[in-house]
Amino acid sequence: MTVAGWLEIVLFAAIVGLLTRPLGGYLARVYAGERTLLQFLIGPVEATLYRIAGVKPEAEQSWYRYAVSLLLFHALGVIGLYALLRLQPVWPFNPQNLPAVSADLALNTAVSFVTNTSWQSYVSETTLSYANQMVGISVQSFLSAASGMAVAIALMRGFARQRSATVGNFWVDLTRGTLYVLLPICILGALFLVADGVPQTLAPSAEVTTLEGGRQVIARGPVATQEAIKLLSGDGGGFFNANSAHPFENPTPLTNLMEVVLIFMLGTALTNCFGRTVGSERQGWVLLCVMAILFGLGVGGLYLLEARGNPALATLNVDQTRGLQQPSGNMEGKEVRFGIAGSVLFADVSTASSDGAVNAMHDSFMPLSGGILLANMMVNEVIVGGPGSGLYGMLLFCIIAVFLAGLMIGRTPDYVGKKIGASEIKLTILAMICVPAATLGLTAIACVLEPGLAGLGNAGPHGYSEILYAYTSGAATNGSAFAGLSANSTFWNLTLAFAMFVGRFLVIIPVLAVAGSLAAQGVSPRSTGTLPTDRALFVCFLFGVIVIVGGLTYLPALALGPIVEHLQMLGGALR
Amino acid sequence: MHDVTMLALVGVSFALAIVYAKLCAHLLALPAREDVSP
Repeated sequence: MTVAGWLEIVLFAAIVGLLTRPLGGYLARVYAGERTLLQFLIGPVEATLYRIAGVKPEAEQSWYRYAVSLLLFHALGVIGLYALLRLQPVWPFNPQNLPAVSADLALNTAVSFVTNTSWQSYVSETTLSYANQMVGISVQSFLSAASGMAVAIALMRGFARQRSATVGNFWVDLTRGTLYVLLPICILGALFLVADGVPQTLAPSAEVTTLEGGRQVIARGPVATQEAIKLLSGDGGGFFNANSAHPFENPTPLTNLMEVVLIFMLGTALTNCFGRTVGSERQGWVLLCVMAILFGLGVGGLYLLEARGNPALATLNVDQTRGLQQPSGNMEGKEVRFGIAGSVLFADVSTASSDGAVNAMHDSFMPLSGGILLANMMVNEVIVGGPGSGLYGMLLFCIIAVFLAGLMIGRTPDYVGKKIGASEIKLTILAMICVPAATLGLTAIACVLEPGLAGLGNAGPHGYSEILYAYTSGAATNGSAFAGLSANSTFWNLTLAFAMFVGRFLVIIPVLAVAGSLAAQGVSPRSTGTLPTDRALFVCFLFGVIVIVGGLTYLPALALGPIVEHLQMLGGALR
Repeated sequence: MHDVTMLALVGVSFALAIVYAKLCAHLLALPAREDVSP
């Protein structure tokens, strides 16, 4: 570990921390329908869109109508993207004349991007045309992120409103999130990336002659615009197969820093937006503190493990020690331009959020590092998470935490002035149980079926980790890949699509139901028996609940993979 | 044929999700037990 490495991590945390309050205030104004700096520019576009779509922005929806609107909108999204992929040769901007995407892969890809997962069972640059990258993939990146934020905002309104039958208007929240939040930040982000060397062109792949006289095809395209929304949306689907490890997606340490900031900025700002919406910014800071502790433990653990190197490689006389001959240390699976700190920071941010972009190969990390990355995803995206999904995941844990505290002291639990009753608890459990059920159930099935084992690149606990990682990533709507698993088969495409669908929509529905239930309540007056949820005590309690619930759910599964592999490594049994 | 199967899967999945939302609404409509906290 180096001082420069730690400084890079601290600088990242400082930038994200400084952005949290102003961006949180901006989000609160946008979703409250208030005027913003961009009103004069975007207001007419917004009004025109409502007119075309026949949306009455002042008409609010019950949670059920909000949920059905969201489901129908995304059903059309899946069908539309599926059609775009299947009819790829028909569309323009296909200079490489790429053929149609196969049916099962098209379904997997459509579900993947509509659910904000961006799991990619394909090699992007040799599978998708520019039209599909721009019109298919990028559009869904915008809409899935805006939809996630809309759900979080609806839940915030549930906490903030009194005796209300409505939680907002899905179409308005979707439109305002896209136009006022995602689009402006992405334009700035794309310009920054272009300035630092990321290509933005519709020209076909370049063919060059190498120094040895060979012929090389260098893929390129409209990368910068897709890169910006890929990061900001928590989507993570790369223009290239190597994702942010590719020099055209992430050319310099500066772009690397900017990319991790883009991934986290909306998730952290939403905690502040929550605090403002419920009338106490401290409530938002509490959530951010818990996220920061979980994130700090993850990135610290990863840096420690990766900097120490692999004893199995040391026995083969591989030099992993920093020195004049080898200035970076243990570079297994990492890019030279980012080093260990830049790689572990990106890996932790990517799995703690729901982004899933990668700038290093997670499969090549130490076994326990793989375990940390898995654990990040297994806690239901609450360590910042995706735009919206991180916050509503964390609020579900808050509900569980106050419920447990209520059981301990024998009082009806309440959170930010709302009583948490039997209905809210049942719905919260429904939302929280479907992700582990899909992850562990599908992992078990894939471990015993021939089609599931066919794609494995490794045997033993590492192979099992590859399967567990794939389903964890899918159901947590993360989308990062452990690598080593060839997932472009009918079995993997369909089962992963199922995991992504469950992990997104079967969580969102009960979350919106909780929002509706809370909005219908009045405010519960604060009393001496009320658990204060804006203090350090609640930070510790919430942290404990997340770790214990996550641990109880997934520790046995982790023990069979990364932990066994770590013990094998220590025992010299890894070859 | 593949396309019909895949689109049918999409349709059935989202239809079931709407049914799931209906069930959640039903769950909310159930009468709550009396609050017995002191």
